[in-house]
Amino acid sequence: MLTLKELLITYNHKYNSIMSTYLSNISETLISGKGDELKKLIESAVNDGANPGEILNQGLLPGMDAVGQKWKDGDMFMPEVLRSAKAMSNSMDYLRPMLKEGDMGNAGTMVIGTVAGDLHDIGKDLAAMMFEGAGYKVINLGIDQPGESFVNAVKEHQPNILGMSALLTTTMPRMGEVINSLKEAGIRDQVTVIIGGAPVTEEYAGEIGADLYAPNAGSAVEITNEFLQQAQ
Amino acid sequence: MNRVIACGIIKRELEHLKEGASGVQVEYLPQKLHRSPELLNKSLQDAVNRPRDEEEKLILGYGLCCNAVVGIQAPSQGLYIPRVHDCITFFLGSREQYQELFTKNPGTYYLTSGWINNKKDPLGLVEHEYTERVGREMAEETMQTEIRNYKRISYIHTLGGREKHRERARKNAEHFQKEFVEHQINEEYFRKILFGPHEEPDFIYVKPNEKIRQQEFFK
Repeated sequence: MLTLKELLITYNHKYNSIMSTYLSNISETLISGKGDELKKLIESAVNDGANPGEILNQGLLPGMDAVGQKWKDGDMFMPEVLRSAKAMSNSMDYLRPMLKEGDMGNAGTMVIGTVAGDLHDIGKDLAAMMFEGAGYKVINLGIDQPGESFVNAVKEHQPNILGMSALLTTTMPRMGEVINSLKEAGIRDQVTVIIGGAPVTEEYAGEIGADLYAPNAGSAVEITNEFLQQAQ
Repeated sequence: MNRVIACGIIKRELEHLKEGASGVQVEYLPQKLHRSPELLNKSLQDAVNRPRDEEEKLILGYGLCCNAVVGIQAPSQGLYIPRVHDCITFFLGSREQYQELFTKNPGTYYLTSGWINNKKDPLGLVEHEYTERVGREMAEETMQTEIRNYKRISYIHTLGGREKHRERARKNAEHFQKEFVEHQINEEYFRKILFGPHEEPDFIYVKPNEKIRQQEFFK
């Protein structure tokens, strides 16, 4: 005969094991881009009592992080990345009404855009989606944004995060120029700057005085949240 | 002897120009490495490291190529690399011309015979890469997304290029509803890669055992 305590321990153990199976299946299904399967999986996880925040933070976000890594390693191609992104977006639409404030980390406001001369937005929009999913209010400026547009948006929206993206090495230097414009306007200290894009590196982020670098859209939220938590 | 290690995408142009010439040898790496800067970096370093005659002058037929060349260590005789961001500058002939066209029309997607022949044009990617991975509909949707902000597709008339390549470029423009434009190749950069002069500012000299640095390309 088991004592109540033993029963609870056994139950907790089983529950944790079921949840961890759910979370890793959610990650895997997201990576494989099977949208319908993912939807069903998330629904049954929620019905079995899974925490929507956990599904997002420990199932979906790590899945998208893996997608970004696989893309970088040449194991995934663009259509597969976009298929996963679509599945991610639909999953977030489903989970959003269930998420509580505490589930979403250090949510705040983010301004994001692609720098002047650069017309690429897949990575930037993915990052915007991930931040939105994690509870940030996101102001997406779009592509080909001149420096003053970033500066004005920081003044107007007072975000705690400014994200900049560039896909070309020819346009990458514009990111450093935006940071200089923020300094000239006296508002550099008001905002944490995170940069990303195919040619951008951690070293480059350091050179131009950005606070953070994200190697892919999937990891951007986690990197930002960790930084903000440490800063508190 | 000039020894060039070049991307397969410019093989047609280099082979055309070096026909009958002595004093230059070219080896090509697969164009597909372009998709993964890390893989390209490793393959290129391996090619640079291959034992070679100390008297050979080593020139890379690459640009910064999304940072793929950053960190490549020069052999004991040093190496030369064109100060360009990508191969479009080679086709247009000079850094000034690239800058002028890029500033005037940033939304131009350039195609050459090499890209089309390798099935790396947008339609080629949809038909030969994307569809088998995700089906035609998602393949189309992906490419539409990838090039949605481009306004024009330009065919650069290349050395030894064919009418069918031009036609394919035009078909791409029609399919994705872009304006079709044409540019003529200026072979000057290709000629310099093969025969020199390998001088500043068009080329960066990387001293023996030093590494290629990203900052050099921004000068």
